[in-house]
Amino acid sequence: MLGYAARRIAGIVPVLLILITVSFFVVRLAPGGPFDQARPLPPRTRAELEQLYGLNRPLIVQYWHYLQGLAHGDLGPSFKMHDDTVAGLIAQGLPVSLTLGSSALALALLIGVPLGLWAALGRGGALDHAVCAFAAVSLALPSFVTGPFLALAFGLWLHWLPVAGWQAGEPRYLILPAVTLALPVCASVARLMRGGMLDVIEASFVRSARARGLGRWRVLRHHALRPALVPVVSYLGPAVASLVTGSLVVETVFELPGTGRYLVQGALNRDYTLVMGMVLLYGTLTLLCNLAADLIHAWLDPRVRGEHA
Amino acid sequence: MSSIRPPVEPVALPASRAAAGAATVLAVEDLSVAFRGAEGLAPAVEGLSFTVQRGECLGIVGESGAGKTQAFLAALGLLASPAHVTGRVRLDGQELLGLPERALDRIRGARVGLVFQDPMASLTPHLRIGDQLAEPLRRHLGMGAREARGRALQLLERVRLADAARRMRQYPHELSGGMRQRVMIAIALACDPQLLILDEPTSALDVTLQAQILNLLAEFKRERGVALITHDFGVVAGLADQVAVMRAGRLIEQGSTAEVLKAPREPYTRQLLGRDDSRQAASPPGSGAGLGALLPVTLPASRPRVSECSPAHPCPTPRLALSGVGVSFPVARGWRRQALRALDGIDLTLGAGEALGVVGESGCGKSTLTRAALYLIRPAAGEVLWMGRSPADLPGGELRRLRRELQIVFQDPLASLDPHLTVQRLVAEPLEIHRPQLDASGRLEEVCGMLERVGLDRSLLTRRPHELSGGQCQRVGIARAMILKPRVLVCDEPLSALDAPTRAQVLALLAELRREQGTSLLFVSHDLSSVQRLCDRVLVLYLGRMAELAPAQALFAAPHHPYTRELLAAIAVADPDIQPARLAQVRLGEPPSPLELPQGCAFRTRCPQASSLCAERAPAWEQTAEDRWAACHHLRGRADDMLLK
Repeated sequence: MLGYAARRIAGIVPVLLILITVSFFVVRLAPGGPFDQARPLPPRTRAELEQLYGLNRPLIVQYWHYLQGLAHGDLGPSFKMHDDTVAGLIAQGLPVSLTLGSSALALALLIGVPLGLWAALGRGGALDHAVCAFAAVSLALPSFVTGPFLALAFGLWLHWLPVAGWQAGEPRYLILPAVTLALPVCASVARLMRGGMLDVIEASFVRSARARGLGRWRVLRHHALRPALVPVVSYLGPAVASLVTGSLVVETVFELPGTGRYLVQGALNRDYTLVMGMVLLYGTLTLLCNLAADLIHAWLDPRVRGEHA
Repeated sequence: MSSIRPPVEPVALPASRAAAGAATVLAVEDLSVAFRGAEGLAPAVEGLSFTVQRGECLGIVGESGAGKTQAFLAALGLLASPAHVTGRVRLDGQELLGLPERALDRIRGARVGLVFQDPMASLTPHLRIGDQLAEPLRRHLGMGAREARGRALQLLERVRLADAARRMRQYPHELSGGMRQRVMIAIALACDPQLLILDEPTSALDVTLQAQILNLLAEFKRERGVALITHDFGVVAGLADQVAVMRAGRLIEQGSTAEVLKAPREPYTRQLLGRDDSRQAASPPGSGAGLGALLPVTLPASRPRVSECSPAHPCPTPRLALSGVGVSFPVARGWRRQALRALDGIDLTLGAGEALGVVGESGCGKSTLTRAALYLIRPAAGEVLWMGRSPADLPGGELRRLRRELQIVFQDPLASLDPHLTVQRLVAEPLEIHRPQLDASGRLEEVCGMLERVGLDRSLLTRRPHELSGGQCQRVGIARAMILKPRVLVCDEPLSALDAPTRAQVLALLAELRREQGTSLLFVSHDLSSVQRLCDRVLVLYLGRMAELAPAQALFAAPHHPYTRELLAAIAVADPDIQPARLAQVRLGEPPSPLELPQGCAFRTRCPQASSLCAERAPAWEQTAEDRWAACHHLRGRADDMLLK
């Protein structure tokens, strides 16, 4: 198990290198550059800027310099926000996004898992129908609808919570965005949990465990739960990475200073280094989350361990 | 953990029975089970009554869907879907129907032990063997963790699981099917129940494993009542004292095992026994006529002569020939990669119209052999020849054209048919590929003709596989394979997913198609009796190596290789006079891992005749009689044959 984890972590490095290489060139091959604007800069200023950021050199040299910087942990300066480095921007935004994402994740799991379980155990009953309907609606509504609606209801009408904004250490500002972000995830978790449990309670080994007179709750907790969690874990691997790197929509609706906007802003502004920094962050997190999902899967089901060895 | 409870609640026996000395463990009276479906109640069991006495085994026999399992699941409140259950079920005088779940939980596992059919799926995959065994001990007997572990180890030793201490720490998937079934039995016996319910305990296992498990179960029936659910009268003959035959939810015949098996009253029972009135076994059992006479052999009326082709007199061009074929698969073991040699040095020929049977335990390479013969797996060594031509040397188009001459029927009829396609499309597809000049009406005509030949009605043309029964699916599989009139038909366990009566029908169909079209059959099966009925010659495989090759009748009458002898001895015979004795003689243990083959002869670790010579070098493949070959240092058969001459 440990050896397997070590090998998988080592395997992340070449994947990241490919990711960096491909996105480095694709971003730069896209038409336009960081200093193309509606009102063109004077040629002299532009040349100076390009000289400053090394954009006048051949691509391959720029690539080499970027890699050298990375090796020292330097993500380079932002081309657009001239006072900031990319690392600095991420360091400012990531704590907000991380807090928001992990609260949303916790919320989704704490509500989604029990809902899915209840629905599966009372299959065909009123609760099951209610959970399925809730999941369908939550998945269908985009967060640019639920977000403003929640802000309207709890912020403007009821005055319970702030409509938008962010103050570190003030959980009041966290609640509405976290709920908005958690809703679709929670719905997916509930559906997958329900489906997983329904498959497992019909399995031969669960009937076998019941035939041993172990009691309903012990059979559920010790025999059925772990295998039923497998679909949820597989889904959460990639989902967690996008949760904690922030969501453009939620951060825009609630005016949060997270990293979610950087990827889109960076791409639109041709802020090469910022895009690269976000791609790197997102890629690393995705790979790590998938690794964690695979390790949890192996813990849930010992049959998987042999296959990876 | 649950609180400590007395293991068994004292229950007063009805005075009359206690006085008679016969203790009724389970009394079922007028049990009916009906499932609530879309169209009202669908009855699964109707008016079932029987009793199980202490120290006695009741065999409940019937086809799948007869309601055997449902009756017991209903009695114990284990039915999967909501059902309407009426009647009376008394365990030691205590009524079970209508008991609340908590009360049933004190009975299930404590006073009633259950063993289910599929040992692969009946153990929880993420819990260690030792923990699963300790669970009922701790719950029902209130044992502490240490005590339960000690008791679990004893139980594993009692069911004779080799290396029990190590097995305690393993997960179910690390054990073979036979070992898992031993674990299931150990769990069922853990709290020393009064009643043991065995639901098809051996049908997922090989003959050799079946015999071992039955042997083990025979030991445990003395102190308790046993209900044995099965479709196999051979299993009943070895274990049961009483038999109840069920059909479509009703009990149709009941009596002592000897009565029912020797003189069945109902035609249906005779059919299940494989005895039509016309073909009653001629020679009395135990007359020394050899095993062949004991098995219900039903040969096709005009059986083609054993082909002239044999290793001794090879045809100029056999339809299929394998010479020195070896196949290996890479396997990861921890950090190392290792080659698993699935097949090694296989030589065989299949002549025109010949049927060659391939038998052996699971994991012996039977299926791999079919894949290698069809060149679906490229052999690592040796050569495959189709009609004298090597598929390895053929260009792609030519290879595809030649492939139509070799078709395959798979083990699982449902899984091997595309669920989206109708029967018509499924059977017509080979024509679309190999005879594109045929127009739609011509294809339909061919398809209908073929369906008629395999005994399927035209009305099934628009059905999809899940709307068919297992037997019908397998007929579609055969129709699909035979529609191109191939010269070779490879059958990979075509019967193992089917019921006994369906099995006989499909077997008869194969024999007929072979006779009509002169198709050569390569028939792979672990069911020795169907091989005996269908095949001219039989190849016995042991761990990917050839053990014996002989004409079928000669092999079954007098096996030469000790492995063949053990295999034949393990067959369950539906004769209560001799089957218990046969069971008691089964010696074969678990096969070694194919990754850790013994030096010298691969069979020596399980061979009753093994000597130091067997450890030194592998035996050569040598001729033992006319048309007979075997690989063994101690061929007893050779001497017998010489005496006969």
